[in-house]
Order: sequence, then structure tokens, then C-alpha cells
Amino acid sequence: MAVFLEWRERIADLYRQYEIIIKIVLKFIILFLDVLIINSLTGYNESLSSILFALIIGIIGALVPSGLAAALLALVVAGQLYSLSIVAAGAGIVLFLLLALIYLRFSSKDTWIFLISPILFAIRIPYLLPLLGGLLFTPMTIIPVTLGTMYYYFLRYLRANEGAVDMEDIQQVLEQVRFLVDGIMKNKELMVTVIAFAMGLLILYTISRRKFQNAWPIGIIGGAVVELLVLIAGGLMTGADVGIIGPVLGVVISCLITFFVYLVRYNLDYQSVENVQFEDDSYYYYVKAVPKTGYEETIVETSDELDYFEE
Amino acid sequence: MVNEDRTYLMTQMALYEQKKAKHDERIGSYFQGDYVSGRLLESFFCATLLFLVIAGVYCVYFFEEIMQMIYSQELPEIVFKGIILYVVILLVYMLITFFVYNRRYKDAINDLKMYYRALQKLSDEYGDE
Repeated sequence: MAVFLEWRERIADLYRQYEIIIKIVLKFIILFLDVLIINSLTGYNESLSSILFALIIGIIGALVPSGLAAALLALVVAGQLYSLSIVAAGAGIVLFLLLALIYLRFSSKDTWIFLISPILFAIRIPYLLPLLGGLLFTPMTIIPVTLGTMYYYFLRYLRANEGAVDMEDIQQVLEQVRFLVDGIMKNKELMVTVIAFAMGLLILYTISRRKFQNAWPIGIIGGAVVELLVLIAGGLMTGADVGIIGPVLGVVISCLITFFVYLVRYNLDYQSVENVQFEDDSYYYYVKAVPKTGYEETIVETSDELDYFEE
Repeated sequence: MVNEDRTYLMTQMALYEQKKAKHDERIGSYFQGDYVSGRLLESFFCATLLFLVIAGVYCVYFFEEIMQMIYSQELPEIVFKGIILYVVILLVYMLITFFVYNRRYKDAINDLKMYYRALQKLSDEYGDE
């Protein structure tokens, strides 16, 4: 525990010292990887598929708010799909519009869940999305998680059926739209995955916010187990090809990562450390406000909101 | 000598100024009715756009069926269903907007009130010296 505490302080100090730069670099890495993954899934337009383009998008995305970064990614997808078919590009934009109109209009705090979804799908641990959503945000995070999942399946579906959307006359445009809508709405694997993610997120959120000892760890395990069970049971019931070994391994790894994030977020509590400076007639004050992080206390009493004033 | 209580209060205020004050003051510069109705107006356009997106995809997907309905004089029926869907989307969207932004307004005003109260307390303490 002493080693853990020592590392905790070192990492916390480092984070506090370079907080702004670390955030920008992380955002750049996420956006850069997103574009690379999107390009590997699509790759219909050569100039958009270059690493230089991914770098440029990464840099721009790192400097703008998360909502705009998501819009930027949607434009990259639309640009790639436009080279395949205008209908496919339109479908990509419609998916993003749904995210923007249903969710970003009211909240954009957890947009990065949507931004990391391509990366997690690429490294085969998308099961982490609902666990992080339930751990860090609210049940409303189901919306960006669902749309991130739909986006990925949509691109994968297009990749597997390139020839079917490579058509031009008006009758075929109607066929293409039906084909794309069916690809999303009648995709059993997608439906099972979305339901499993939603259930996992809700269970984690509901259990972990209860006031009893070890509610958070129990919530994380509960969410992961429910997610896995719904995936496997849904796959067996609908005949969707979700596999068994992949989800089991993926959920176990996701669960471990979620525990790590839980330790960092609720015990190291980097985000709540604040540095402020002010002055009165006599002094200059340079205050570092460090929250108390008693191990047992933080499990039972956690608050996302900072109490600025006492009554 | 540094006054501990005062330092604590000033720290809380500085944290608030750093994190939320600008946002809350922007909200607080409106009356509640003006603030919420402005957001409702924005939501009206968003809900309309959302309906158009859904209706557009639906119309293209069921293009042939809709054309047949037009030929068989059943157009009013589908238009009526479309209007019902629009009203439902609009109502749900507006209700969510109303609750979300009313809550945000109240939270912002409460925080601002507490901030000004703390400011007054601090000013009184310095005045007493």
C-alpha cells in the first residue's frame, strides 16, 4: 500500500503540473487513432487516408471542444464514404445528426465516450464503453455508447458490402437506402450488443450509487457480469454471431481496466485537486486544495460536484 | 497573521470563480422565463430537424409504399400520422428542454446567491477590522 500511495503522489503531482498539456496530448492521440481506424475501415479516398491528414485532424481535434471533435470525425467518415457512394455519406451524416440532436444538445461532457469507441472496437474491448459510462457518467451515456456502437457496425457493414452500395441511378439509390437502413436496424449482432451495453451500464450505475459498503466494486462486477450474460444469451437466442471466448476475455479485461479507472478517479482523485490564487490587503494566497482521500470514506461518500460554499 | 476561516472562504470563492462563475453569471443575466424560452425556441428548431431527418429516412425507405398510398388516395392518412409523430417528438423534446434548463437556471442562481452572500460576509469582516 505504501508503494501505491507513493506512486499515487508522484503521478498526481505530474498530472497537476502538466494537466493542460496532458489533456491536449491525450485528445490528440485519441483523434489521431480514430482517424487511422476509420481510414482502415473505409479507405475509399486516398488523400483522406494519409497519415498526414490523420495528424492534421488530430491536432485540430485536440484544440477544439469534444462536440466539435466528434463533428470533425463525422465529416472524415462522410468524406471517405462520399468516394464510395453519396447515399453512404448521407447515412453517416444522419447517424451523427442523431447524436447531435438527441444528445449533444443537452450534454456534451461525456462525448469522449463516443470518441474512444472506434479505438475500443479496434482493440476488441468495446465492452469497456458501458462500464466507463456507468462508472463516470449517468444513464444518459447510453446514447453516445449506442451511437458509437452503431457507427462502428455501420462502417463494418459497408466494408463487407462495398459492391452493394456502389450504384448510381435513382432506383438504385432507394435500394441503397433500404440496404443501409436494414444493415443497421436488422443487424442482430448490433441489437444484442447495444442491449447488453445498455443493461451493463444501467446495472453498474444503479448498484454503484447505492449507499452500502463496497457498492462501487460490486457495481463494476455486476455491470460486467450482466453485460456478458446478455451478450451470450442474446447471441444464443437470436443466432447473432457474438462469439463466446472473445466477449469473456474482453469483459474480463474491461472489468480490470474499469477497476483501475475507479482507483484513479475515486481514490487518487486527481480531478478534485485545485490550485487557486487570490489576494487581500495583506497577503497573496497560493492555495492548493487537496480533497481528503480516506480509502473507506471515498467508497461510501463520493460526490461529482464540488461544494463551493458551506451554509 | 493569516486568518484561517477567511482563507477557507476565499479559497471556496476562488474555486467557484475559476470553475463556474462565468457560466453562472451568463445564465443569471437573464430572467428565468427569458432564459428557458430562448432554449425552448432553439429546441423547436432542433426537434423539427430531428423529425425531418427521421421522416426523410422513413420516406425514402418506404418510397414505393408511400407512392402506392398516394395513388390510392390514402395520402391524408399518412400525412396525419406524420403530424402526430412530429407533435410527439416536439413535445418530448420541449419537455426535456424545459426541465433540463429550468434546473440549470435554478442551480446557477443558487450558486450565484451563495457566492454573493460569501462576498458580503468577507466584505463585512474586512470592514470590521
